[in-house]
Amino acid sequence: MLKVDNLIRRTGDFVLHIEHLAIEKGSYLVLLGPSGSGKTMLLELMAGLERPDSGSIFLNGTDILSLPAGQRGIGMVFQKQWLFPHMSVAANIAYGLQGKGLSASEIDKEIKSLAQETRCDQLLKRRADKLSGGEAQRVAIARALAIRPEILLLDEPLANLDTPLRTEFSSLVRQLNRKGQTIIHVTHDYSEAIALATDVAVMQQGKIVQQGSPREVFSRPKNAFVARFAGIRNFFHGSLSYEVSGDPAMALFSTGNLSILLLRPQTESHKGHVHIAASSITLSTEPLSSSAVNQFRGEVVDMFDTSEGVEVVVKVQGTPFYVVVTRQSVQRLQLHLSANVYIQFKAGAVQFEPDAQ
Amino acid sequence: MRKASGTITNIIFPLLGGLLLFFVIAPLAGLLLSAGTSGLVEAAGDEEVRQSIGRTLFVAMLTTLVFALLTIPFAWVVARRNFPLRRLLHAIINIPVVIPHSAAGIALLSVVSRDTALGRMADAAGLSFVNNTAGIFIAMAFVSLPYLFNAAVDGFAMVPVMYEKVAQSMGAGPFRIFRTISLPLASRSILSGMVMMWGRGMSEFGAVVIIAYHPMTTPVMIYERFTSFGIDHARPVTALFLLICLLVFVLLNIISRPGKHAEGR
Repeated sequence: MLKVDNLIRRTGDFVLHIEHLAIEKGSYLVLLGPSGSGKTMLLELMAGLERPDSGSIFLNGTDILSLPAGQRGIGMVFQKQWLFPHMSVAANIAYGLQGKGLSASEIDKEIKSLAQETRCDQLLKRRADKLSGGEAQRVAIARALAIRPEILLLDEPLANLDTPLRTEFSSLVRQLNRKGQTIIHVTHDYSEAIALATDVAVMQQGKIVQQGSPREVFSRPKNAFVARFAGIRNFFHGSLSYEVSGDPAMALFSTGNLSILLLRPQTESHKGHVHIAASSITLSTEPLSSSAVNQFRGEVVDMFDTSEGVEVVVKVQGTPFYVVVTRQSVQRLQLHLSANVYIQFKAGAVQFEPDAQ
Repeated sequence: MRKASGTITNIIFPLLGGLLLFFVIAPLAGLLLSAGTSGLVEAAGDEEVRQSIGRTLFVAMLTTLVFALLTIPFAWVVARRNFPLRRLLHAIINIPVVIPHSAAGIALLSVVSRDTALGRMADAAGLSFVNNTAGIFIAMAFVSLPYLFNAAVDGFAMVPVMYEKVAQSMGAGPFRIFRTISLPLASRSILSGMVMMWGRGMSEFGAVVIIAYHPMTTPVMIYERFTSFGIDHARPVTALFLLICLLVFVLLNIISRPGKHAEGR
């Protein structure tokens, strides 16, 4: 188990401060955050390539901060791989094995086994600077695994790969994780987190703002920043009122000039935020009488294609709502910019999260 | 407007380059042609000339190899570490480039002549710098080492630090990283710097003539024959030396061309 406590590193105006982060053996943690949030710096501190100003990192009960890089039981794969260009693939993989008292035949055996595990056994004699992006990434993994790390750190490993290679690489790291390899993976792409992670930690300006299972983090984002990373666009801050005439099971959430009905949450808090999945909102050109208790009139201010259909931005009394509809719906409803439309969503589609105390 | 611009870059620029090449090649070609084959054969048959050329090439090579051992590690330190007075140290090593080489000879002489403490100590140990091969060695080194130093610093600085971080993450210590990563990746620049240092060392006249007129290096011999017997006597040895230098220079450039990285395993 890796435990990080009160880890602080200052560089210029930037401060990385990790109050607490724990990673269980065999888990796959995705550190999610935008560029400059301190993700890579945290990995480099764990790997021993940077020194913190204060704090502690324990691996299986041992304080590893006093150990040099390479003796911490942590291997790292960097964003651009950085394979040694003047060496063959085999020499790159062997680099971490040399100087450990292994014989040449033991090193060769280990190289072959690692190459097989990472599907690069056909590349061993090739020069490292003659590999494609996907090949180089697999060799980088084999090289990092050569030191038999307890924890494998992956810094934006999919960033430079095209879609088929991303799928192939994701399958490789998932397989390694299933075999028991603990992995910490840094990315700014939440789809990678959904596809791979058993745990997610969202970083913002040098701090972890939320951590938990992907389901917890993405279905209950603590703030607008996490919601944005989770792909939730309809995220509104405001206050809750429990006095809704005639229905004790309902509550009313006020944000800006809007009042949204929702199912009464199990909390006494008044301040907080609500989020509504774009796919839970329907759109029409005429008011509808349906079971959806929230219906608002608004104006289409933007429309753009996405992989799931067309995302339509509807402004309701100054508040933008993001709605995903099919391309056929756009044609059928004759949607265009400035069109007046109605949006509807059920009370059950509105999730309330109280502000942290 | 675009046509005029094209004329400048497509016609005028190559024309200027042609003039520049003519400026360099004309005296060299003139020298070789005027010396002729008979002049070259005559110079090659002269035992004194052969010894002088051999000495010049050998001492310049030895200087380069010995000072590479001092220069390359320090160049790595300057390229990779931040320490006080780093820029000042860099500038000090480059001083020989900007001072007259005769002044460099006088400066060296004032440290190693027999009147100085260092000179007396060297004398006591059986080593004399004045009018000796050791004097040629230090004179060549003094004026030529900035070429290797600058090339090595640039070479190390061009190696991305990330390669060293990767090696560090796999447990390599600083010396192993230097030996297996930084040095091979900077080797092209370093070899170019060594070729430059060697070339600059063997062509040195000003500092050598002051500290060690004898035994004669070829530049000193050319000067001696010119001042004592005139240009006709200086020309054959000059042409032969030029030809040999060009051959070695081309050969070394081929050896140090890109893609000749050392294997790390």
